[in-house]
Amino acid sequence: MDFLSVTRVLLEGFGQTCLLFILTLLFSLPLGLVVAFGSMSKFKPLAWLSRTFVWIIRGTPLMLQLFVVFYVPGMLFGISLFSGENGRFIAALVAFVINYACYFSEIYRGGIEAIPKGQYEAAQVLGMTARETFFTVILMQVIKRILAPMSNEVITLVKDTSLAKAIAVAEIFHRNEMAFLARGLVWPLFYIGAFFLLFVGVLTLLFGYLEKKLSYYKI
Amino acid sequence: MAFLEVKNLKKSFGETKVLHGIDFSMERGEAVALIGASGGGKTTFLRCLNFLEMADEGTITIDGGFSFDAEREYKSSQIREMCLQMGLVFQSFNLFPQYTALQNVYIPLHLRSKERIKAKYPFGKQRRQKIAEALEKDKARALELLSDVGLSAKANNYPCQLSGGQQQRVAIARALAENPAVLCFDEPTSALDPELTDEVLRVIRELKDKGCTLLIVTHEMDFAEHACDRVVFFADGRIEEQGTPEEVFHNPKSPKTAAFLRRSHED
Ligand SMILES: Nc1ncnc2c1ncn2[C@@H]1O[C@H](COP(=O)(O)OP(=O)(O)OP(=O)(O)O)[C@@H](O)[C@H]1O
Ligand SMILES: [Mg+2]
Repeated sequence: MDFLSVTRVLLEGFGQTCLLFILTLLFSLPLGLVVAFGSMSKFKPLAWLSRTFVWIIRGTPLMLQLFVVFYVPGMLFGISLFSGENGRFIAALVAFVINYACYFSEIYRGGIEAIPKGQYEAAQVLGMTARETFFTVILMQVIKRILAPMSNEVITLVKDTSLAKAIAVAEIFHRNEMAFLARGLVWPLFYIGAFFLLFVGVLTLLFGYLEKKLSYYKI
Repeated sequence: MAFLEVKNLKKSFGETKVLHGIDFSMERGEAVALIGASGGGKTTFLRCLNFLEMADEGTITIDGGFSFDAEREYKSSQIREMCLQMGLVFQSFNLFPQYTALQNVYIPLHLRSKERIKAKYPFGKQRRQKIAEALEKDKARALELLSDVGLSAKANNYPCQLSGGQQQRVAIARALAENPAVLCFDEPTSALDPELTDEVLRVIRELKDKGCTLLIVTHEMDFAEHACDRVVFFADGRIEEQGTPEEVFHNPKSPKTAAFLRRSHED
């Protein structure tokens, strides 16, 4: 096995890893906001439901959730929703999106609840609607407040994608195991480590840049 | 009928009765100081006038503006209309930290301009054009207001780059943008270092000279005495005494007023 062909195989796996990462963020970031609003709702049953859901998702292993999403629909309805390579990928995506939406929702909630009451009151006295208040006054302050915990969570997601191997999604570890580990080839593992370091390094720079961009004001 | 007329305003928080039926009125262009011991309900009164709290009972009427009756139900859009008739400057400024001084003043104003334009022009190019025109007008007005409070040079500074006194002056400009009928102040200088209070009080005095109608909760007795037309003394959720500064400060009728004034002299 030469370096180039290892690279080719691993890059394919890494492509899947990246895709899973990006799609998870794409869906879980907005969904998390919806869950956060649910948890903060003045309508008690909704808040209770939402918080219980978050508790369950955060309180059980992501691995378990992957298996549940992948196997349970088939057991219940006798149809396999997630068959084939794409099916497995989608099952993993669904589990990741739900899991991360719940984590994000708690970060959002913390950020939103930390905004001083005076900001809402000033907006109200100036005749703003609730919607205008949220989008023109509150949101930017929330983003600034949550940037650090979000960067932690996003970096964790990069590494969590490897769990998708549990349902045989062809992400980087799965590819490695099939192609190299099974044949006793160990060094590509370090290669994978370098991939992740690079990925996380880029994200760290990105978050650092965002933090700097938002540092023009203090809250 | 007076310019601002408040009748029998009552407010409780749970079991705690805070306002026991306030009757109060103001003439156009009058500057009224509201004084009184801590916990007397001054802040609650201003918050009711600005609909941050909903009074339990009573009415608030503004000449040519609106009439609020605690008995009736209001839609949130009606409450917003009423809010715009009143202005409030907070003790803690409450500027929006992510916006410059100029943006703090024109953004809320422009949101209202946009709302009015959207109601008139349902869609299309004309609407976009009107909004663009309004934006220029609103920015110009905001600049004018900032220059009125002496802050033209700081228009592009963020609140964190301004002193407390400057922040409070931006907050005053922001509150003036929609031309409120009555502008209320809740201890506008209490959060400021002593050397910064003067610049804010000077701005308030200038507003009075321009004919604005002002209602000011303050612990600055000098200011109440020399810059206001009338002084109202609040005690335990009631108006205990009111009159010209001369009457209230030098010939208080109520023993409670006298005791309060004596205490505030000692500090
Ligand atoms: N949201 C609230 N919930 C319960 N009680 C409240 C609330 N707001 C005010 N109060 C009570 O109402 C009373 C009057 O408070 P308020 O803040 O209006 O007084 P104040 O005259 O402004 O006092 P200060 O001079 O200290 O600012 C106090 O006893 C206070 O504890
Ligand atoms: Mg107060």
